[in-house]
Amino acid sequence: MKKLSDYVWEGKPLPLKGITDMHAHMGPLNMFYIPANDIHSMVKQMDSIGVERIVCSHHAVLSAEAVFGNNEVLKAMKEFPGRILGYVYPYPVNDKLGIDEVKRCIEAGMVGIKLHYYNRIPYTSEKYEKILRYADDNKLPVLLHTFGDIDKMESIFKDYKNIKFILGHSGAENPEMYVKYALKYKNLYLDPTNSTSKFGIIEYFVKNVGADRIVFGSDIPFLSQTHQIGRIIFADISEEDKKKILCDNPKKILGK
Amino acid sequence: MLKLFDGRIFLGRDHNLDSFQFSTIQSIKKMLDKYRVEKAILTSFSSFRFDFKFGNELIFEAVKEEPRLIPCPVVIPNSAGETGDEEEFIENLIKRGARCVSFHPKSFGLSIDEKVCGRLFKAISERRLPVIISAEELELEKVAFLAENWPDIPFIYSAMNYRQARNLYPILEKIKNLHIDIAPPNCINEGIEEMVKRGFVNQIIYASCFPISEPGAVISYLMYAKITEKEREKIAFGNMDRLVKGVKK
Repeated sequence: MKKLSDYVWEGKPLPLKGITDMHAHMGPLNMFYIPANDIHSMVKQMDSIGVERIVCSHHAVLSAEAVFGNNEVLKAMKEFPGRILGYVYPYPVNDKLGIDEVKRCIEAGMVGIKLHYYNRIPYTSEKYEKILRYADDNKLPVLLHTFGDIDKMESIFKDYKNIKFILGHSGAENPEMYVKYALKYKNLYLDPTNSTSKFGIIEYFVKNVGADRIVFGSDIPFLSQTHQIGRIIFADISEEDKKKILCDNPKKILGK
Repeated sequence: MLKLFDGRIFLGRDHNLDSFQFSTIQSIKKMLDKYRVEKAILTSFSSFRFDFKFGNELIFEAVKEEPRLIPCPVVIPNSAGETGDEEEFIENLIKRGARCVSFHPKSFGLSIDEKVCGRLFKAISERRLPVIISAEELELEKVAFLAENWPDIPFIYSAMNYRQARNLYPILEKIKNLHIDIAPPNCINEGIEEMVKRGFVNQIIYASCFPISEPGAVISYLMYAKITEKEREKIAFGNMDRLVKGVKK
């Protein structure tokens, strides 16, 4: 029987149904040159690998142009229904850009919330309280940008038990810390997206936390989806565990 | 079936890596089998984290056990009298099988100034010996400066940050003896396609940097790249093979 890695060697789309990339972006960003950052190029890449869906936020949300960015994601969702899913990104300096923007985008069909501390507001700040309360009440997934620093976020893991927190870049630094917190809080999911593609990290997480708590993320178009998926496909774990990470766990988190 | 020539792998354990990121000769053999690697360039972490003589001996021993491995010792100039005459130093490394050398100015606190490294690079240049420099060791523009000054040396810039494209493209265009590997974190979206489109296919090298990074990620990046099979073969094997075959023994 053909293994998933055989499809990679042939450069063919993976045969699994429902592969979902839980950590994606779209659009340009001044910081550096990003080839093929438009949604059409990204969908072509998804097709070439066999990725059915991505959940994404727009790069504009890293600036104060969150509303523009969220609207771009809503447009992409309309153009590719069921394939492009959206994370709303709030800019919580006031209610309009914070909780009101979250409600607007969720009501328009987005499936979760993305938070990044690039705006220098820690997730534990009172500025995020209404947003996290809303996510908790509505059992929404929240993707957090993290980088070996989740000990600073513990209070929200504890206070919002209905939120499925996806910890972006899990294990890029301090992998032991991610294991510790994932074992302590059952509402945490590990997303190992990372440019360094650390050798052995997937196996380490599967062994110590279990494949049920890991999701596939790529950071496309910062990083190549083709690169990040290879980390899962070639990991020394069972084919069943790969399917959980790529398809089953995202489905559980998204409820669809 | 695509042949792979891995342009950069390491032996041992680096001090700043996680507990599971280490290699032994046995785990290297297992990796070569798993990823169908026909040849690989091997450097020891100990050569630049501890003592270059000690680390280089480890790889010369390791390659005796595994014919797919090609030793890539770490070199330093004889500026403090540690290597002996540079020409003899390089000649001896080549006699022992080296077909590449690794240069680590940051780890050794070295200037790349002609007065410090001139004799070393002259000896390397006379042998057309490829020089690998990791991004963490020297900035791209300084590697470009070296490559411009030593046009007979094939330089390979390894594990470059994926955010460098704006600086990389004009440098690759102008300096044809400068090569770039696709070891992580050099994994920007459609980065291979972009470099090939710009005419740099002969300057791109497959490398995994195992056990720092997962080779499967780089293989997947290469296999799904929208390029021709001939271009893929050059990156996977042909370019590195050409460079090591160009060494004057």
